[in-house]
Amino acid sequence: MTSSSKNISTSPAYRIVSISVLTAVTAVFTLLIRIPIAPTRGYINLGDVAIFFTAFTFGPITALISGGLGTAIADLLSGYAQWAPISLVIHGLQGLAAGLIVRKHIIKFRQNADNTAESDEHREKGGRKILISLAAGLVGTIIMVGLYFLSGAALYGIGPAAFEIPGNIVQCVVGFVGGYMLTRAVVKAYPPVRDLFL
Amino acid sequence: MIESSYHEGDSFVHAFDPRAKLLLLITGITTLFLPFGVEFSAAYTGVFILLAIPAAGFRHAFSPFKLLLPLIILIILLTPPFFREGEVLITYRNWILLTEAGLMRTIVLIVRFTGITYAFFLFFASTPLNQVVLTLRWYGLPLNAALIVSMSFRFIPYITTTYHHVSDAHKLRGSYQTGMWGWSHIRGLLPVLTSVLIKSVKTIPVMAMSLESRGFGSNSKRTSYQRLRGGRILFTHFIFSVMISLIIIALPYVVA
Repeated sequence: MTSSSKNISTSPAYRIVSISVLTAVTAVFTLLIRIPIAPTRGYINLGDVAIFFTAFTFGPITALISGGLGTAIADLLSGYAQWAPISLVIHGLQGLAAGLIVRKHIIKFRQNADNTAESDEHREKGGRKILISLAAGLVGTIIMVGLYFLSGAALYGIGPAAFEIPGNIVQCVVGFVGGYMLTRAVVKAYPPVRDLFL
Repeated sequence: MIESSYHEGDSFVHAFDPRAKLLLLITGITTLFLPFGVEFSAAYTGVFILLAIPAAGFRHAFSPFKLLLPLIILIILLTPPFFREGEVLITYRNWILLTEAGLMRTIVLIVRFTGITYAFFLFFASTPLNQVVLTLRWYGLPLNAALIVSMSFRFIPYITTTYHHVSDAHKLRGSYQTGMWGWSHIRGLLPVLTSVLIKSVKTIPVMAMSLESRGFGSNSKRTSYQRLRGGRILFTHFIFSVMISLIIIALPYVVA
């Protein structure tokens, strides 16, 4: 399964389909699954969960395109078309940054898994992995919150843009935690996904 | 679910070529950021709103206001404190609540954001998504990118259905809560999302092979199931949209 997955994952058709499927996943997570926040009567959508999952599982390029495009499509379908170009850029960069940070570690981990018999032990030593994932989450959050603040300030002023910062931070943190937990759960339940990182 | 932004109709805006419409959309939005004065931005925004009535129908034409309202309230509450210059208009005890500059800035931001929202609403309410993709292709979007967009729209209903099936199955087992959101509900979401993701990821190799079997990656000439009209209509609509663009940019200078 491993070698065949690797052959498939380098083909252009595989890349196109994986980006399309993950774009659709991001759009569905953004549109469909909304957790209400009682005090503000607002919602947290799970689009960021899908973006971090894609970055951790499929790598930076897939996360760049599917993260940006998926949230842009969700904006388009939910009547917030004016946000679509902004989401395309911001969430794309968020996924790219998170993916780039974990990339080196995942490639190294894959080489270890291929070369050493103690690969299972390597997998269990998750301290460094968590730190790198945390760094990816932090950079992703800074990019998303910072760029939304800047674009909001340009569109409707500094005051309302600053008001949105706490909500965006909560959404991004939930996205990172959810994305990390989902990556672990999916890798555990369906190990071939480990070979799909591009 | 995936056709929610398009409203069928035979209005002037619907009949306009989507390529020319996209040009007008970009010009219209750019104009709202140019320093022409609030009266011009308000006039252009008013035109967008008026065009939305025949394009989306009276009932739907004002639906963007429902989405805009919370943000408009935020702009009204949070913009004036950042602008203290000019004549003081409202005070409460010793606190300056509103100045002339604050009022002007608030109006500019509301008008601009309403204008941007309506420009996008007008474009997507009068242009089906397949035509949007064809328009982007005409403007140079690569085939692979267009393919990704089209396939994503194809997968959205599939993944939505998968999510509903999986969550229904989990509900039947009693492991996924319904009704009010709480910790148990969020905890129950993880296995549901894991199953949805695994099912989605598993379709990738099969779909990739199917795409290759259909000729993806070969150098033979591509055919297109749908095409945008060309010829005289496109030329006329483009001339029309360039003229409108020039008028809306030149009008403030002419009036001044």
